Amino acid sequence: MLLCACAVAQSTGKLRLNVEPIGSTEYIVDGKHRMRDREITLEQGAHRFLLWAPERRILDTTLTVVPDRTTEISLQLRYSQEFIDYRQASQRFTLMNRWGRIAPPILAAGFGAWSVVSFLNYKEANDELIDLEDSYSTSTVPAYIRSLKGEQIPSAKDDFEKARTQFYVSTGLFAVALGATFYLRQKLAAKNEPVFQDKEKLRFDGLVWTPTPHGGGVWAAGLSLPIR
Amino acid sequence: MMRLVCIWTLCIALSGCYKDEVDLPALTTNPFDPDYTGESVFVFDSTYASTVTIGFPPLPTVVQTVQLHLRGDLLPAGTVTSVRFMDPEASEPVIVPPVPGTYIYRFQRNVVEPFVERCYSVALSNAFSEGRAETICCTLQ
Repeated sequence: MLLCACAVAQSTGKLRLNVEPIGSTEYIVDGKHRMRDREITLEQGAHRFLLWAPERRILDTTLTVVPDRTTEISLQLRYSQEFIDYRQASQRFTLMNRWGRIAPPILAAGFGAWSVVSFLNYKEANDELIDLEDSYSTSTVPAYIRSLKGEQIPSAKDDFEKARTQFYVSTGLFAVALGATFYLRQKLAAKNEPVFQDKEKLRFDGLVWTPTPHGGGVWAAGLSLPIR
Repeated sequence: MMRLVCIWTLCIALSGCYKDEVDLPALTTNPFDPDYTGESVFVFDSTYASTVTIGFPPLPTVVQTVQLHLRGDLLPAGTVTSVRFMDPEASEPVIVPPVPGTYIYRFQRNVVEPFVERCYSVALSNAFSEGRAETICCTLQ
């Protein structure tokens, strides 16, 4: 609690600050005193308040103290633009990091499985075609030979073409997914997570008065260095 | 992961062996194929007159026999087949089985025509279907 010692002749009043976020809000009164108390006793009249909390924008406002009364003040500090930008960048990074690491391997595994199945179908279609060709050479039933040439072999050739196309497509997609997996893994490994720099804190720390337990105070200047 | 990629690359390389080499128009090498374009499988042996007993009660009848054989080297191994004979004088073809254990076929006609050349349509026959029809001509001397 701060009571201005110079206020002898004047009446005083109280301000009860309900500021969101609760607990981490600091404020500077009249450009001199940096405080965190929820209640403050001040001389009557208007006082300049600079309120700040981590990640929030500094609120510069004037509050009027009514003598012999406790005035409830409710305020909400808005997020600073830097923090909003950081949060968006961080969400993008997290999203990219998560999906960039998970999605391509899953896709690659899926396309790989499809590719294996396609390969087996391709091989089976090839074997079927060879079997039919052998059947042609060994068959002694003209009607069956007519059926082979008219229906079975053309149908098997179609199946073979389809199986081959499917195998090439699935293998191509598998190769692309595999390449994407390696590429994104390298790229994400080289990418740094965004760091939040609270410029509002730097501004707020710029020049403030911090009271000491002995009744005095110190002037302090703040400097933030991101340590990685 | 690299091992997987290598294995898969090998599979793709091997799959290059899978080529659709079945050329349908070129499939004309089986003598049982109605579209067969190879050498004739029928070889005329002889034609002769003989007396056989036909019907009930059995009656001796003079018939003309046309004998031919198949070229086994042109047929699939182990082939057992019949031959369809079409006599130009008859309305229905006759399916003739082989002499057991051989590729020899004997077609008998009830009409004996010495010194008259007759041509017969012959074809391999199996399971109620016929291969390429060929013509064999012969004269009973």
